[in-house]
Amino acid sequence: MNKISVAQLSALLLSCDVFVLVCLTSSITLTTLLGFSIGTAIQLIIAVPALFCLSRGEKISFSIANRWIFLIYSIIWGGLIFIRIWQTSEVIYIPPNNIFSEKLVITALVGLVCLYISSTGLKPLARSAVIVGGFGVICLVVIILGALSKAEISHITPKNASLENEIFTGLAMSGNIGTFILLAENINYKKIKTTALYFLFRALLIALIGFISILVAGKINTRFPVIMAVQLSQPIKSQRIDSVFILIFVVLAIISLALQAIVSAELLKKIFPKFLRYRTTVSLLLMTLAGLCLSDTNLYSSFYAITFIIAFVVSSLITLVGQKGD
Amino acid sequence: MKKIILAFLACFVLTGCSTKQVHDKYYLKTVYISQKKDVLYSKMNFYNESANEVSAKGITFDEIIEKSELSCGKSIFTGHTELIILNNCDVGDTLEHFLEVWKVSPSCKVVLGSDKLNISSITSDVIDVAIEQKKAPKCDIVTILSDINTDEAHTVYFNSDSSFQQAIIKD
Repeated sequence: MNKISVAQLSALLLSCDVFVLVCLTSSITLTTLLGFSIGTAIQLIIAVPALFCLSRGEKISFSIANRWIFLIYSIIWGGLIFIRIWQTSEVIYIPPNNIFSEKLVITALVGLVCLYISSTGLKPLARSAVIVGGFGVICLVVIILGALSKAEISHITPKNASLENEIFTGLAMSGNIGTFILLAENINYKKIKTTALYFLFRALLIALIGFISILVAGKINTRFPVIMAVQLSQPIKSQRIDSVFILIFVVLAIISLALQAIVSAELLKKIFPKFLRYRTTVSLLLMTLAGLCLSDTNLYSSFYAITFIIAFVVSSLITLVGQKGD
Repeated sequence: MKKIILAFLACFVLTGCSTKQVHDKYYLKTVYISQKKDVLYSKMNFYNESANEVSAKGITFDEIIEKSELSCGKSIFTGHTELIILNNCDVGDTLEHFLEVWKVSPSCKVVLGSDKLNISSITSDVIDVAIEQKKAPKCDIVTILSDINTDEAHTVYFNSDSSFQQAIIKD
């Protein structure tokens, strides 16, 4: 895999984290934000063994077992991203199409663009992510400016949300942690500092977006609270700017999916060295199949939260045991 | 540098600009919704000077929009709606549909009104002045939806002679 900088790594992963947060279909409360923060802290702790290996120059993806674990991991996570695109496309306006459903058109278009982008490799995607990150920051500033006049402190109400459920929701939304470790192998910078910076920015970004959503749309019953908050945070009364938000959202979706396709393709190359062509196509097809199989599951269930943690811990242990064996 | 310029150009081109003209649509200004049994009745007023008031009835809001577009002969854009007048309908469901599907403006006002009300005589400006003079509560769609989901929402009720008094909506 190509070497990338810390900024590119952060932009890639934060783009995916923001996309997953925007697609959240459960209500957001202060308990939710606390749960997500605790979930991030838990991930930082479970990342320690993997960081230990990386800081000693060991590559997690060196062992065959870990390659298979992360391949299945990235295909499942890619499938879950596909499901999120499918679910969220109902709130993205597209001119009515009498031949195919709008959801199918949107998801297929995103898939095709991902196929093209992921075939170019990690470096172009990483560079694009930095530019998109810049646009995303501008978008966030615009949303904050628009939200200032719409925010109501009274929208912060203590709802009967279970902290434990919110922690699991936060962990289930964090499939990126596996991708983070694989990408961290390819940066020429201090791994521990990179990890700390990424998790810190992630926690802050999620808290900021979540808090804005609560202040603007906290009391409204909506399936997509973050999207509703963004739609309500129009800074100019006479001119709607939904199309700008939709543009950023679609680009984030493409980056999230393309990243998983690239990671899966690299792992396929390491597992099957003779598999030279159409790796990204196969990865995307496998992710589509995974998405179809998992479409009826609860994306924020403890099953995914625990699965991601176990996969991560097991892979770290395999590397550590392999080290001691050597 | 060229790639960045091209990227900016692509962003501007792809953000909704098309060959359609502004006058190809009617822009919804005020909508009145009432419900009797399972049938919805609507009256719509538009910003376009050439557009007349349009009435329609249907089982769903999609049907109402379709019939209204058929009546006036143009597609209807609901994103700049400034006033919603409701009478005897499920307020929560109606407003959630308008916010999520019709994508009405977040500053759109929500009031109650009688069947015989002339919707052309009521504008959002009237309500803004009433709010400034503290004769009406804050009744934009976001406030109404937020309050109705927790307890009760405060708005105004317009009589047929366009006079109004404060009213409470309960879900």
